[in-house]
Amino acid sequence: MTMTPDSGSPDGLLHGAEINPVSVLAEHRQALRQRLLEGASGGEVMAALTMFVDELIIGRYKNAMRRAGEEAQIEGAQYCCLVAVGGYGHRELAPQSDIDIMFLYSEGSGEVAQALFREVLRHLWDLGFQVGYSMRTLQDCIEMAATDLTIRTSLMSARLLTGSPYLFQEFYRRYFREVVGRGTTHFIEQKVEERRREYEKFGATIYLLEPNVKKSKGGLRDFHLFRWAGMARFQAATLQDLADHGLISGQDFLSLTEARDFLWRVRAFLHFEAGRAQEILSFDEQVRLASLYGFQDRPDLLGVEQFMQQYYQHTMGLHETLVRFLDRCLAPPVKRKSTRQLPADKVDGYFVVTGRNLTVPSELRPRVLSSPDLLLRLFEMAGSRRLKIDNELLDEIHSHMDSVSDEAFRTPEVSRVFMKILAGPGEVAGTLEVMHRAHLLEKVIPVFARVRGLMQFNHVHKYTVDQHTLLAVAKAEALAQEPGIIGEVCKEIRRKDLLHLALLLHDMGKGRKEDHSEVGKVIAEETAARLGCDEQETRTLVFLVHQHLLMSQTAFQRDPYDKKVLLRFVRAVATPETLRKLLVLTAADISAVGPGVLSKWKESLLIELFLRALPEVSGEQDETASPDRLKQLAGEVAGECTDAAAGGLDWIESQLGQFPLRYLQGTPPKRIAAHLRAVGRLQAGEVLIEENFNEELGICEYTVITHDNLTPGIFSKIAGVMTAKGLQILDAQIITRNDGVVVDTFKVSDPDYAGVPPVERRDSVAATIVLVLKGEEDVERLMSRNTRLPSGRRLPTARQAAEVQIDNETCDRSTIIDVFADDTLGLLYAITRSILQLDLSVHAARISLRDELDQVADVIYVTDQHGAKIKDHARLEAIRATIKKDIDQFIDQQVARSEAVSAGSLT
Amino acid sequence: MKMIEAIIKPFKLDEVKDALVEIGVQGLTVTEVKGFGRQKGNREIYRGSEYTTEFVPKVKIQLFVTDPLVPRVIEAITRSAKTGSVGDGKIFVWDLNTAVRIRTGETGESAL
Repeated sequence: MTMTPDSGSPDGLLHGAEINPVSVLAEHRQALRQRLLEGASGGEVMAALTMFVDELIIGRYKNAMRRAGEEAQIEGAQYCCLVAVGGYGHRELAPQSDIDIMFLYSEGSGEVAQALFREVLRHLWDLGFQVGYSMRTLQDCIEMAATDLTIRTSLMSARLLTGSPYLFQEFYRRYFREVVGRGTTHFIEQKVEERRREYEKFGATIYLLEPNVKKSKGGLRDFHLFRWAGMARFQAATLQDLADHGLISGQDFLSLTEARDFLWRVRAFLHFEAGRAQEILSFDEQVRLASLYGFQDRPDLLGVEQFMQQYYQHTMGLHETLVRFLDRCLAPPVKRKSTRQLPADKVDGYFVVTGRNLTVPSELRPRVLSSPDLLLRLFEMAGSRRLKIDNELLDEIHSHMDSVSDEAFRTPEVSRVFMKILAGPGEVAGTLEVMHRAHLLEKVIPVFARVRGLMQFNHVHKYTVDQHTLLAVAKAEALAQEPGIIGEVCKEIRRKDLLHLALLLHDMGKGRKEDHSEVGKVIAEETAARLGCDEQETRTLVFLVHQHLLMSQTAFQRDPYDKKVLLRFVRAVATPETLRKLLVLTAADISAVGPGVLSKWKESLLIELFLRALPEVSGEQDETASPDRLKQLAGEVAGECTDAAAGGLDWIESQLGQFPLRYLQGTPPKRIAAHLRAVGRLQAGEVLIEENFNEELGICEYTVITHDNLTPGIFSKIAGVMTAKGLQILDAQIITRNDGVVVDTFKVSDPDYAGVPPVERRDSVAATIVLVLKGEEDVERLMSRNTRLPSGRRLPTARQAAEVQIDNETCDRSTIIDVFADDTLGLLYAITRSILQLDLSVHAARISLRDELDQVADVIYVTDQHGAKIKDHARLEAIRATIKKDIDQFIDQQVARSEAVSAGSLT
Repeated sequence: MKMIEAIIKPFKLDEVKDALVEIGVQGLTVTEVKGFGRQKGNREIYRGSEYTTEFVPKVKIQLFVTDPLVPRVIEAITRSAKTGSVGDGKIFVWDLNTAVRIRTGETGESAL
């Protein structure tokens, strides 16, 4: 059915007989919608609508001209024409697209034809079309197109609707010669810049969760830009032309066409549904389209997520192809041969650097493509030297990757170079992104293939999982440049590679029905094994991935001033280095959720927790309390001193002033009062023990008060007594005041007794400590005499070698020794004895249990006998090796002993 | 009609919200704010450098209720936001002149 009114009918008659054009249009749209639902492509629908509109316009125009008389008809046919431009010119009218139309006339034409054109416009408006129109002479077109980018672009798709074909041909010829053929590079650059601004406005990433199908990155506009550039640079009007002339590969042609058709169809649905030019693919529409397209929910992935994954694959492909094509359009006309003529620039035997570009000469490409090691080195070089890998080469890598198995990438060299890429310096996130684009990242970390374009169907995240992940790495890099505490912490992190790897893996567990942190933990373990990480690295990586939400949950949802909350957090984190990594990981993760999500407000909550936890993990609360605080505390302690034995308030205050803050903050006033009473009556050469049972935690606290010159290795000896008595040490605090008073507190559990151990037991422990410290009993003899049946924790069957690390950066005054080992009775004694034999003195220690790993992390602060930090590298290494050897030996002994016990042959 | 505003510790938000919903509060506006009261700001010292954060991060909640509900709201917030330590926050109550529901044009208590 056409809408063209019958020719020559008088208006009066026509109105009655004419079918209402508005409803005809509505019916036509409805029919097109039905075709779309039945499987027609977006292109078919657009072509049909274009044809419909063409007929409408041409019919109206001719009809109006006929009615206006012969003169007008001649004028119209000779001096004027109607030209479709913009998307309409391309016959790409989406259901609710604007119609862009130009009235082209030559000087000889009169007013009549123009008036007729206006009549056509009115008709289109009445039908509810959005019409953009212009009336220009040929000269106008040339002049305006030369200066106005939009006009220049829209005329590229000019198509004659009706009128003088000679005039149109003349226009076309001059336009291409005088406009399109000139300043091509500048034109393309301008278009690219225009598009770049559009990206900024409509989302700088392809992976928006509610993308604009036209204007977001990877949207239809990318396809338009592709076509404009191709037309300007190569005078190719269609993709087919570009493919025919070998300007794009057959594969690119196919993927571009597929992506374009996919987007066209989606847009057609959006327009039909909204009844207007709706280009935003909202969550609601995604759900609707996913079911229209037949995607079913699976346990691991919702239908809508599968649909969007396809959407992102298309937009990603489209965008990548565009980027490569633009590069070619803008590249200076240099033959690749010339790069080969500069042998001086060849690096590493395979790679060629020209300016900031990195490539591989074509004769060497097969070698490089078939060698995972070389491929990794290529990316490593690009990252560390901040070079850009040639797009053609990336293309080749990309297509080659599809036929390569992950297993080929499981080599020590690949792992080594990959960790180097992750460590920086240089572009870490940038390099990873290029690797991801070339489908190479998923060869090194196979799990990455699964999250490509994986959407997170919630309103918090703005990006898909892979994009969020890569962005998180970029954010971690950027944070190091920012002023403030997080920036400082960033700079101090020693193993950036582990941090970046943890960021890469932290959300890999998404898209499965199990908790993503738990899945992530398994993935982290697998990846660590694959990359050949050692135990220590594995431990850090697994912890960071598994607990990547711990810090934000604690900071935002728990009270960091609640000692129990803090302690639980601190015990999990265990070391200052892990805490630093976790802070940066948390900040980067939040920041990569979307723009502005990491507010200063959130930052300050994270920093608050960090600063409260740091002294705890490092056992380093050595600053003193402020005078106000001291006064207040002295009052509280005095309130606990019911007897008059203690000196007055002033005495209490001066005593408190000699303790570090970590003691004052971590000890209840009642306990402080008890300790001060002991300090007050301490005589030279004496040892006093204050013990206390904490009902709430079910643990005993033994505080030993003495003078530090009593005997060397006080701490180690106490630990030995605890072991001999079968006590499990949970925490130990070492305080040596400037006046030589030692106040060491051990928190222990007593596996021999459920509930409160009897007084005799506690007295016996206390008495033994006194005997040992006074030299009346030898700790070694005590230990062998008291060899016990294994109690409490059993020894792990599959035991892991102990790991000892030296950290000389965290603390200015002491060297920190981190020990990770299987939780064994007496371990702390073994460690401290080893330290004592090395002539080191212990200043602080913290013991953290890692329940799930059946391991402990002991953090011990030591100095040499003169109280100085150890700086000599050889000595540090010797210390590390000795302690490790001693611990391994100790644990072996314990194992042997316990086996002997089980065999019933204890001697 | 009264407007009630409360400044609370961030991690208490969920508890406070639950307590308010329980007594029949229908709506709540939440803002992330920074400021200081008697708690003062922290001076954050890290590695010897000082980073002044004169303001402490808090959450501000705002709600509008009928007069009879005011004592119960105050009680609910006080109970649920309390930790007993410094910086637990404050509650403020204002008289409210009028309220209009934009969609329907209703005014007064029916607009709350």
